[in-house]
This record gives sequence, C-alpha cells and structure tokens, in this order.
Amino acid sequence: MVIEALEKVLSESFLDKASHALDSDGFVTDEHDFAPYRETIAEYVSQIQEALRQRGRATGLASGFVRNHPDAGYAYFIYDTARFDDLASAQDAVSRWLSELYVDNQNA
Amino acid sequence: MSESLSVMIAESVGRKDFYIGQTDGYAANEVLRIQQVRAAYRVVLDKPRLIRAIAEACILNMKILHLSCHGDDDGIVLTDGTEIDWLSLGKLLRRYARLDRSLVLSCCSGGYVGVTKAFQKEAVIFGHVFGSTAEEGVGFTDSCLAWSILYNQIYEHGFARSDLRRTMDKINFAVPGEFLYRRWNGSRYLRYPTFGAR
Repeated sequence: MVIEALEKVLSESFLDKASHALDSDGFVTDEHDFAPYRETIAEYVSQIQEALRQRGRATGLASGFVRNHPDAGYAYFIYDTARFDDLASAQDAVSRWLSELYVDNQNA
Repeated sequence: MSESLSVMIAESVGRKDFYIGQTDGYAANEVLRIQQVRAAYRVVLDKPRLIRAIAEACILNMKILHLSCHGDDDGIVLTDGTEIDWLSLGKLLRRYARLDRSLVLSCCSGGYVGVTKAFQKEAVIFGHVFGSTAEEGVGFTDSCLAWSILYNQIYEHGFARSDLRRTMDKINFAVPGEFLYRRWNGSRYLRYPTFGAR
C-alpha cells in the first residue's frame, strides 16, 4: 500500500477540483485525474473534510471502495454522506461512473 | 512481416528458477532468434542491472521490453529479493516508455489493472502493456507458450489492433493464464480482452 504525503494531497488545486466533483457527483475517486494515488484519498478522508470545511464547505465525508470493478479493479473514493443513503448507494454510483469512464474498453 | 520488431529481454526470476532453467525470458529469446528478430537477453540479478537493462533498451531503441520475474498485485521481486512496487517500477521505466514501445510483463499480476494505474500516475505511457491477470498466477510453461505466440504474431502482423486482438484470442484459446494487453488511448489504458475484475 502506497499512501502519498498529506501535504501533497491537500493542495489548493485538489481541494478546488474535489469540491466541484462533490457538487456534481457527490464523490471523488482515485480514478479522477486530479486525485492522489489509490488508497490515499480514502486514508485522508477526515483531513480532506476538515480542509474543505475551512474553505467554507460544511460537507460530511466518508470513505469507501469498490471491489473488483470489471474495468477498474479496486477503486477508492470519498463521498458526501448527505448525498447518499448509505455506503452501498455510494458504491453503486461510483461503479456506474467507473463503467462510463472505461466505456472505451469496448474498442480496446 | 514486421521487420521493425526488436525485443530487450530482462530476466530476473528466482535463483532456483535459474538453476533448473525455468527461464521464460530465455525461451522467448530463442524463439526470437529463430525468427531472426533483433533481440538482446540480459540476466538482471538486482536493481542496478535492471536499470542498466532499461538503459540498454533505450540505447538500442528496442520496440519491446520483456521483463521476466516474479510478481504480485503490489509489484515485482528481482532475483536478489529486491521488491519493487508498481509505482517504483514505473519511475524506473519512465526513460524507456514511449507510445511506440511496448512492455511485456512476464510475471504473476503482470496484467493487473493496478500496474497501469501506477504507470498512469507516473505518466509512464507505453503503446501496449502485456501481461496475465490469472488470480492463481502464471507458470513457466504457460508463459513460454503465450509469449511465443505473441512474438510470432507480432512478427507476422505487427501491432494493428484487429490483428492484436486476434493474437490475444489465440493465446487465450491455447494457454490458461488470462493474458491481455492494456493499450494507451490518449487518456487511460484500455484492456483487451475482459476476464473479470483484475
């Protein structure tokens, strides 16, 4: 397991883009282009939540992962707890998003 | 026939594998020699020699780097026991990686999605990465057969997508091991064929 340094994760750029993704989809995964590597995003969920709160975004965040997605394998994510009823709902949404992300696999 | 095919083989299997001659990189080298393909075979016992082999592959402008070693979902292990995780391997390969070059990872988990996720993170872009996704791993005999078919087909047909798909179908028809390629499409690595979730 490789976890990136917290100070590298909590950049203004990341927080800005994560905030947009949380607004639009309700989650941020390690497959987002701006996200840190693999488990890192889930590891720092409370720190990311705090950093976003300091920027004025009072969002409750939790972490999860999608196991064995057909295209993406394991995918790690954080999600807005107000947007999903439970972890399973968030996992479903992330799974659908990953399938869309890898839709070009049909032309690999 | 593809006259431009050239392969650098870096072999770093276990000490026992070397002793009993279970060296699939050496077998691939023999197949390539029979076909008179430009190939170089290097025994890579440790990290400095791996770095050297990668540098040679750059200097010799080899189209394919074939890395034969042991591996798992976390990374590879060299002959001397050095463990190199996929991110670190990506860093080592960065100088060699180009869109018109390919990597054959002849090891367990060589086709695992985590490999190309790590490469993407490190901006290591190959045209194709070939490997096995079999959860139970891939053995010496199956590797030898799979890569022999691959090199034979690339020698005959090159990297045209339809031909390469047929090549993977042929490999998987003949050999257990869930072999696939992951092709860079400009934004991420796409895989063919699909076996499941690895």
